[in-house]
Amino acid sequence: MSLRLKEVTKQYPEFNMALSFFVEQGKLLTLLGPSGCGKTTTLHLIAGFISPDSGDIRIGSKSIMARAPHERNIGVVFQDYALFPNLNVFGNIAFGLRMHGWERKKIEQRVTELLELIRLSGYESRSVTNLSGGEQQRIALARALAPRPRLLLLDEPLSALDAKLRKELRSEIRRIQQEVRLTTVYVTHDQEEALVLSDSIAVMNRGRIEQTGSPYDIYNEPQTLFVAGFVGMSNKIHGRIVRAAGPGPAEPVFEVLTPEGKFTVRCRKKHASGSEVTLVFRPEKCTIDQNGGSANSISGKITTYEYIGENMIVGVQTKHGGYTAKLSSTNDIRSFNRLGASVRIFIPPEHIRLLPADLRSAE
Amino acid sequence: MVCGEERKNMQNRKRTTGTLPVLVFPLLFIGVFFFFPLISILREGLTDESGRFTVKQVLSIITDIYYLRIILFTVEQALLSTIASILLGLPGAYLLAGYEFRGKSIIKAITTVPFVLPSIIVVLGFVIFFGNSGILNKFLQTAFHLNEPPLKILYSMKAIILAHTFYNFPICIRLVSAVWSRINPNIERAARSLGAKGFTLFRTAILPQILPGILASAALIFIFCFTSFAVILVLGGGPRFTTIEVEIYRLAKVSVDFNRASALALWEALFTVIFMFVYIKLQHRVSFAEKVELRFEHPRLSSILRSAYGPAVILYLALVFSLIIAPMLAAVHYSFLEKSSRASQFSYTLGWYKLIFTNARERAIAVSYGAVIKNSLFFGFMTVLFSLPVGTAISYLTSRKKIPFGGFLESIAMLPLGISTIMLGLGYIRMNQTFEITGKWYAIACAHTVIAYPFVIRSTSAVFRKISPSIIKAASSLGANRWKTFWRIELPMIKSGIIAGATFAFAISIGEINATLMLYSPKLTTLPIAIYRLISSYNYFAACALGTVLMAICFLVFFIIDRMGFEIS
Repeated sequence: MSLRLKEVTKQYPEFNMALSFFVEQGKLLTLLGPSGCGKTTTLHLIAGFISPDSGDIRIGSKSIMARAPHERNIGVVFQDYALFPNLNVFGNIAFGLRMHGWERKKIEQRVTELLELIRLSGYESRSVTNLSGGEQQRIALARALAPRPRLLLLDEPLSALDAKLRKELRSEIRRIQQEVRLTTVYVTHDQEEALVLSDSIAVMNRGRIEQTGSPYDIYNEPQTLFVAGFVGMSNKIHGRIVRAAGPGPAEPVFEVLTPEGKFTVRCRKKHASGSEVTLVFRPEKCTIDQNGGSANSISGKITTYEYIGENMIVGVQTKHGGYTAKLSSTNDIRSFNRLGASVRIFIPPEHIRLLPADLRSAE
Repeated sequence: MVCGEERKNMQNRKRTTGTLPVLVFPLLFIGVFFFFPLISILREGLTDESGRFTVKQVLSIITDIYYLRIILFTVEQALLSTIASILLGLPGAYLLAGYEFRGKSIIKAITTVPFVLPSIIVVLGFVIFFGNSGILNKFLQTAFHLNEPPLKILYSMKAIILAHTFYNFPICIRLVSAVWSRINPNIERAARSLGAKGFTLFRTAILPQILPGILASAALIFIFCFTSFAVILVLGGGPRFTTIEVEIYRLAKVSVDFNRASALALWEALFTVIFMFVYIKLQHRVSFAEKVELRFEHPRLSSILRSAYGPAVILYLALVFSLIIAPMLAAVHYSFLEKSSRASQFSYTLGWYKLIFTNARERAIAVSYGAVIKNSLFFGFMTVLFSLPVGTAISYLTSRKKIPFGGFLESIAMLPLGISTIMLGLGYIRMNQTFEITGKWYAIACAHTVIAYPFVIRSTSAVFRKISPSIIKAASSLGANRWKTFWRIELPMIKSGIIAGATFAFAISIGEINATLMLYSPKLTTLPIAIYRLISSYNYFAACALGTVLMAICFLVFFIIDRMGFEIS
């Protein structure tokens, strides 16, 4: 079943939520955003724990607005798992089945099947309070999946676990979700998790969706400064377009004047000549060398460097601002681990994105 | 938008109308059976015969040397008892907090005994063990061939302090060791690495961390000793060893001078409110430390036993063990003895227990032994029946629902914890002017309920808080409606709290003597009162038999609460 939120609104003292999005049958959409941006509220709206001020929520073609939470058949996995401490593993997973009036035989079958799916066979009679965090998390997932829900909602399901287990379980969740082909909404503030897991990502900020797209698009084609700033590291320069003509119609070439010099940018989006823009580029797309040049480059001094094994992140300071570059060649790493060295960062025209200038801070 | 607003309003309205009936019953009960009696005392103490307001009676108390001496004595004995309890308890707290040993959980459990053991049992055990013809004296007389009992401590300050210490030092062990065991050993290591050692190390790195715990337990013990009644009534006595509580009881029941009794009660209330305030302030500092919950590895107890301190530790453990257990064992032992009238030799018998099943009765008490036990059980069940709804309703409102003034409601509801039970009884007697209730079973049942329901609030709100909102949401997302969620998830989760609350209430009722003594009529004699009357008429054997029955009930209760996994304090 697909999920559609149509102009769903809800007023809060901090912000007004206004949401529209669509998740295709069997796909996993991640709501990604900082804490307090309304991700969990969105899940609770879908599950029916809170009701919106206006708008419509549909599963398939039917609106579910009139239904109480227990009539929606939506599986939910909570951040704190919310396992029933008075029931054992079997009782927890079987709870939804009993509520839906399954026969005892079928319940037993289904629980066994689910324990196999989450690779915890034989755990039936264990008490849930004595399980490890990772096991509890998987039981919570199995419990949500048991009554064959039409939709699965996961609210930061991995945030209470340590880094190694988190990586293990996120691929486990992805595997299960694809095996069951279940439409899923996943909430997280961890961008790496979002990029790895999702069919599509909706980046949220202050109750609104800033951009929806594939993980590739979200990372490589951010549409707003907030998205560029929230997903991955990025450098920004303010500038003004001085020439907006290009040879190819597919990828017009712009010339942008910035405090750091003139930049040539190849960018698909249309911008008018004279308009104020922000140039955004990723640290790993930069190259670095010693002698100063002019086109598409920034000259400054190295103020920080962090060696992290496969690469090194260099901070370069100019009169107008600070920039970072990620160096991955062994040669570069050897040559530029010197504080105070004068260097030049070069950014290829195709790796610069132009976003409408916004005075609002992206951080 | 308008539609949404309206829905929100409707939800709000529904929420308030839902809580209102839940709120009315407990408030009505507390109003009638707790605040009204207190107001009656206030009125009695602050008006003269013609009903005009006056502070003359209240002032006459502190200008009268007789009452001043009583107040001073009350403070003095409480202070000495507190110091003795803390001194005796601290080594135990250290051992319990710092070392691992087999049977640690049993020792921990024993330290909860004072919280469930009725005071009259303490008195009984004390008389049997330390009395002039008690076991200790008998033993010493035989061992050293003495004609006179060597220890004459009954009916003296020593007796009062010793009994209070026995009763209260486990509180110090329990509270201080809880604080002590949470101390991060790295703090001590850090202090060592920075050059601290010996007493400086203790003073700078450890003492500041356990001091709030020591002070809080001291404050609690002080309050208990300040308002202690049965111990003073039996072991003290006479104008020299009378405390405020005993004097109020004497004024109300013997002199029938309610004006004086009320005026004195007002002073006591003032004192206890101040002490309670201090205790709560200190407790907040302790619970602040409670948030960091870490478990640390501890050395085994054998490591200190083998050290130079070994003998001292063993001596201490033996002393503590005998102080807690010996008087109780002595009382149990005594209940199986009888003295043939001619020779003063003891022989074993089950006779005292057989009496329970016959209609026999002692001159000192108005009804048969069986009826006494029946009375106690009846009040116990009535107290459970009344205090469960009152306590559960309040804890539900204050910990699950977001109601306005929730915190205020909770502190109002917990007030009975800070009011002496003699004073409550006095209030009921004064209420008699309006409702005829003294000597009626429901007066005693309601008084017990007022004393017990704060414990129901405690044990149930602990479990109510454990139910996170997402658990309720999880149940409903799995298809359970409100009723099924309550029945299948919430109720099983709070069940342990309700059982623990009920057992607490039962234990409190069955051991209560203060308010009962103020309100009972001979036909309503309960176990503690019967024991008191039997001690007064020197029938120790029968007293011990009934005491053993009471102890058995209390240990059963204690066992149930412990199995429920609840902290008794």
